[in-house]
Amino acid sequence: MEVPQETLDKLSTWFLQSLSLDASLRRAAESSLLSAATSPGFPLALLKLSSLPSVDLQIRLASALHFKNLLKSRWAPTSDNPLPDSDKTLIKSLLLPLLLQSPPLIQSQLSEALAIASSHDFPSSWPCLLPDIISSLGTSLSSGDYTSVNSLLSAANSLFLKFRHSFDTQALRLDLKYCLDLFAKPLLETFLNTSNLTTPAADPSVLKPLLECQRLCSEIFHSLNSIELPEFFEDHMREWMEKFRFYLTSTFAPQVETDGTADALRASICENLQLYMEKNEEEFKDYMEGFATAVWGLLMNAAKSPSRDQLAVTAIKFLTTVSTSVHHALFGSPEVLGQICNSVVFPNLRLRDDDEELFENNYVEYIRRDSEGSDTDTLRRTACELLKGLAVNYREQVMGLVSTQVQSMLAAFNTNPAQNWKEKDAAIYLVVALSPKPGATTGYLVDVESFFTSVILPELQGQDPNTVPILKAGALKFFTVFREQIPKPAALSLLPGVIRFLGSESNVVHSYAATCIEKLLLVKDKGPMPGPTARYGAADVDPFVPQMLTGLFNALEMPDSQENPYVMKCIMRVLGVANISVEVATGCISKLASVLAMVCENPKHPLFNHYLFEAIAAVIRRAGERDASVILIFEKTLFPELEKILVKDISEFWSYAFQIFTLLIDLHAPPLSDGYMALFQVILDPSSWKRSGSVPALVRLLQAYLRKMPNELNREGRLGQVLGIFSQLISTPSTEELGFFVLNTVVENLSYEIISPYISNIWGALFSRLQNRRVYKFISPLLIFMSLFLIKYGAGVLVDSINSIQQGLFLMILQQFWISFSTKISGTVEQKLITVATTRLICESPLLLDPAASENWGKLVDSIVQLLTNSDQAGADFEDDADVPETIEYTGSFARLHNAGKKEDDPLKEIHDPKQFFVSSLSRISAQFPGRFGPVIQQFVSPANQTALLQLCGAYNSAIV
Amino acid sequence: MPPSPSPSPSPPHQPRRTPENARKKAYKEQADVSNGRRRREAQLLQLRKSRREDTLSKRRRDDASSPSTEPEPDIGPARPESDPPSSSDPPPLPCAADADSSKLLGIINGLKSENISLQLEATIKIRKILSVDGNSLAEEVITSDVVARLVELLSSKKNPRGPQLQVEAAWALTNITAGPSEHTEVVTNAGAVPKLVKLLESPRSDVREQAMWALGNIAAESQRCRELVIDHGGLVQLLSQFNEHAKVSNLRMATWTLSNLCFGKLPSNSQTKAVLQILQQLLNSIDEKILSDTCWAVSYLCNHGTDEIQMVIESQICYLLVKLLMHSSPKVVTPVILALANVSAADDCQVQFLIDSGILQCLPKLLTRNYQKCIKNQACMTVSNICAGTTAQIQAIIDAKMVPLLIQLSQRGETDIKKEAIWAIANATSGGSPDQIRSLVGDGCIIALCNALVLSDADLLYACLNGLESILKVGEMEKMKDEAGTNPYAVLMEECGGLDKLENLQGFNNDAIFEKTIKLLESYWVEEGSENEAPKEPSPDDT
Repeated sequence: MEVPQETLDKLSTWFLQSLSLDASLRRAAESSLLSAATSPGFPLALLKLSSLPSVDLQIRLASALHFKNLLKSRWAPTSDNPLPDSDKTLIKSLLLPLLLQSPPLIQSQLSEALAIASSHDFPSSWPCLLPDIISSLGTSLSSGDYTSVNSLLSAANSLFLKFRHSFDTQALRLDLKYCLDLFAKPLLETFLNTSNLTTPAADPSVLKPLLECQRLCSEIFHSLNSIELPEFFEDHMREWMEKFRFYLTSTFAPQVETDGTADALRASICENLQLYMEKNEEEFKDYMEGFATAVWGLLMNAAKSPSRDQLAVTAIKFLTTVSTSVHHALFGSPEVLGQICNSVVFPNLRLRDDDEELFENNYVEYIRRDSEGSDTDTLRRTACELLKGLAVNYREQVMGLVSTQVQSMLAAFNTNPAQNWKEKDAAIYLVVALSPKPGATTGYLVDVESFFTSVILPELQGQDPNTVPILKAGALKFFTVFREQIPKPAALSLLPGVIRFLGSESNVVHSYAATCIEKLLLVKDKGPMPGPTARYGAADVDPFVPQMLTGLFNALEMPDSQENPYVMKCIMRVLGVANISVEVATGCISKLASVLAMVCENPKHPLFNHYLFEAIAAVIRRAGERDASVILIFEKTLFPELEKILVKDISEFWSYAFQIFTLLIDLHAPPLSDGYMALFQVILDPSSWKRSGSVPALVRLLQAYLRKMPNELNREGRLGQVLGIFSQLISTPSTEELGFFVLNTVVENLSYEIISPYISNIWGALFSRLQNRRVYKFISPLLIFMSLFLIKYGAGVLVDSINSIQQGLFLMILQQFWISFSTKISGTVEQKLITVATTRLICESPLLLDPAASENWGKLVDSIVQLLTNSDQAGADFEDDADVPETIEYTGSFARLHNAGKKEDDPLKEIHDPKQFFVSSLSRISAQFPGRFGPVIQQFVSPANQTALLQLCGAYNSAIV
Repeated sequence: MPPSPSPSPSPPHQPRRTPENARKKAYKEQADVSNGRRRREAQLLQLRKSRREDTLSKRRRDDASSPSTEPEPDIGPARPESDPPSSSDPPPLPCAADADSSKLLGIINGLKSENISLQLEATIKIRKILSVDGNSLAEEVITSDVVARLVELLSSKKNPRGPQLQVEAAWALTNITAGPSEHTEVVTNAGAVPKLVKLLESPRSDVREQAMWALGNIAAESQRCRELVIDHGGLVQLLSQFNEHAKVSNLRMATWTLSNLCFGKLPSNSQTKAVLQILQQLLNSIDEKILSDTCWAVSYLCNHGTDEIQMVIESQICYLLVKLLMHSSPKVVTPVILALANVSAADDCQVQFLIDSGILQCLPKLLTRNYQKCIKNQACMTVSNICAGTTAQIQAIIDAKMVPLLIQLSQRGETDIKKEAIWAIANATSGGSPDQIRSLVGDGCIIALCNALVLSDADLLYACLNGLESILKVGEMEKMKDEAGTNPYAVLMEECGGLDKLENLQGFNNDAIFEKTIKLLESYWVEEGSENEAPKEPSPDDT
């Protein structure tokens, strides 16, 4: 690899500058690097630079990092600017040897680079890689160079990881077979040779790389055994398993025991045992008992270190698997059950020191682990899973053991609450963990009710929110988990206690109190029809609202809780449920506005911010719907902050701001103030539409304007601007639906006189787009728009305005799209629109009433009947639903157009039953031309639909004569 | 060679579900239900150790057994490679190599003589040497010269002792072909096949039987050898052995040889049909050995593809096979369930034949009674394949009350069977109609699928996610019916800990599974109650 010295010098300088503290220097260097990136041989220069011993390590590292990132973005042949094959070939030939020569820092970057390249090219386009690894491995092993051995194994390990998680395909198996044929044997040899060198009492500096090597072998073992048990591994199972057992049962020099090296190997071995239990139970069964004993022995060993915890988690998982397998009888005797519970499960339930630290110093992480299920790999949770596993086959015995344990923990607490509070905490944890969630049928392992009364209530009723906060948190969690079972009066009587905890200095406690209230407000009762209703309504909550809001807003003042998402979520929920007075509402808005001002400075917590805007919206809507005059007060408070978002271009908040504006406009009594008119200019500016994330919100805002002041549109060429936005939106598939929303809103709110000057442009844009985009996703909203247009302006205007583009165009559209696609339209409102529009077309349009058009006429009748039959089966026709996922999406989006959930947005309120409309219109028109349509129907409507049509006529007492 | 102490057998070329389908679906988010056949059909490259049924076994005829009285060692899935050496014929004492060589020289001279008595005597000596496992002389006997001469002797002239010589020569060749591939190759290269086939026309049943034995061993060698036998008319001759005059021992031998020939794909459909015609008759046999080998032959044929399966169905065999599922001997039941499992991996119409033959009345018995694991496993796989069928076929499973049984199997039992049961549940829920899904949920399918989310098998995980997705979709319909409220199935999933497990799957390093997991989480567990909030834009939820 020849790289000119000057290139290397130049790169060195840039990398050095890219590490500079001077921002301008840094930026200049970064842009130089960026522009050099496409020059030929650039990746090779990076690789060369990172491997030159003479170069400063910082620069080498920066270069290696850059190299890795370059491979990540450009190695894939499908990437934007893929590396040329010539570069790739060179890199592949150089990477492994350079990696082996590099110091650890550089090596880890180059290993990642190797992993990236191999994920695309190995094995078929990189045939020498594995043989090279194997031959170097042999050399390094015979010279006892374990640094190289481990580098090579770790490279090999990255090649094989894909076998763990990929789908089982022929191609994958071919790759795996290739790897097995080459590597299974050297792997075993490496493992056995290394194990012969491993004497437990050896010097830690010797032992450490050996154990690390064995861990890598064990990892590779896992990958190569993931699809099925390969022949070679079955033939050599005994050798592997004996050594695995050796590492599980030997104790090594104290240093490698404490620094986690030995435990990392053991954890990896336990994962392999788990794998064999899952995949090769039968072949493995002779080893199982021995391993169960070995693993259990490990767990009895009380050594406490983070690495031991990790090991204990995998070890307990293995025991859990055994406990639920056909071999569960290994644990079945009362003595063994008792021992497992008492020495493996129960001791691990107690809060550990680092949990306590987390409770005090990082409440977010603590809560995630404690109550949001991210504790799957904690000892507590794993131990409980083992208990549940044992209970599958030994339920009675386990219940007995648990109940005794809970009693003894509580007794210990009662003798000395101040000192033994962890016992009570563990008892609460145990009960929560073993209780199935509400409504589950599996039944309880403990008696929840009595536990609640005797253990939880005293904590919730305690007056000082700051004593033993962990127990308060546990009690609040218990209340939250069992909120559905606790009867309403009892829960309401506990509410003041919970509100008091909002004032706790502990972040976890006030977060849990907020969560408790929030979840309580979501509880629903499966009452009589019409379905579940909220258990706690405004009337229940209102008396507590002032204290709640005070407590919640105070909590936001506490250290580390300024952006506490649990608290903000609770505020949002309370404001959504309670009926609040104008005073409280304005107070809330001003508090929320000042929070908004704060987060605008540095938006960093998306979840918190989302709840914040939700809360603001909740106040505006609930208060504004009752008394529109408060909107003016809200505007005054909120406008400065919202404007700031637009002016300072805080892009994260754009779509929120637009939605708040939309809400304010919707609730605003006309006319709109000047501020809104200024905003209107902003949204008509095409540059506002460039940010795709805020386009849906902008569309909604635009709709709000169009609804509120349609006539303003006709001034100052605004309509032209709006239609410009429309044609921009329909030009890309991702925004085309939004374009139709704009257009639909225009048609719904403006008279034809206003839009007629633009109509040929509109049709022109739509039909030229249609030529390139004959897909359901475009045709469906187009038909809806045409239907809306017809309903609003009449069939004649629709036909004539389209034909004015090109004579006969309407018929063409009708034949090619309307007839065949209208049956596929989904969504209640949409189906109603197309049914009514089609009906009016065949009953009003001279074009279709012309006898020459009878074929089209008949086919349109056929498609309406088909659509009406389809809509009857909607929901029941499950499989079809699943076939066309766009359908489901589309339903949602049209609802958005009409501000979903608001019934008055049905553009056809006057027609209740589209079927009736269809049948009676048809009957009326046939009465005008007796005897004419019968034969047409017979000829062009399918027999099934003829029958359906007859039934419809019967149902509405109409007839076609 | 002693019989290998292998664990209970696993199926030959275990049919697999088509992961290609899963992949296709993963990349193109199209409907899971439409092409929802997640059956095992493609034969994937095998990495496992071959089990006994993966390859055919050969058999040596030892000195004590006469083909007419005791030709059959243990037929069935477990065919020992040899019968134990008979005590009546102690192995030759180890003697000096020189002595051996000179003795051998004498034998070979006898073999080469034109005197039929000497020929016979030498041939008997040779086959005695070859009848004993591990005889040091065997290697020296198996030279092209000796073998060529033995082959010549197969067509000995008309002579009262000719047939005996033919038997002895064929016996010797039988034992050579029972050895390793190189030995068999010496025999086939010496042109033994046409002569052995010719012997099938012999009026003497002992000659025919010994010839079939040798041909059976040759057919067990490789596909090339099977083709060699067939090309020389061996199959036709073999089929003619099945007639009303045949002795039971002859029929047994013929069936065994036929089953070996069926191991590979037969060259033409007409041959397959002819074989099936015979097999169909043999399935009515009361002889357990014949029955067992017949069933093996059918199961091999079913392994070759849907064309063969179609022919099997057309020859009215399915019904007989299903009846034999209840046979008392596992030696019969094992090949039968393997054959039926293969049929169940075929297309919907073919699967329908199984159902129409009443298989669903038998499978629950196989699954609940004390059968070998491999039988249960295949039975469960058959169920899972039927579950991947049409909604009518899923309904048949439900009507046969199999779902509670599957749920039970998915919770307890050997892991292999657990997984098969989960496949079945996942297939049924993925493809079931809304009503069927409601019924499946009522039986506890949600818990079963959720518990499976901790497994490490990507294909099975994906199937479970598909099943759960269908369930949740129906849950949405329930939700709409109630006009308010929650998706009851999402709630059930949460309650049984499934949601936690689903969340953990986000860490599973497989793109398709990751995306499916996210899709489920986002579609069914969006922020509780947020549908009531004013702004409806998706939250930029980081977490």
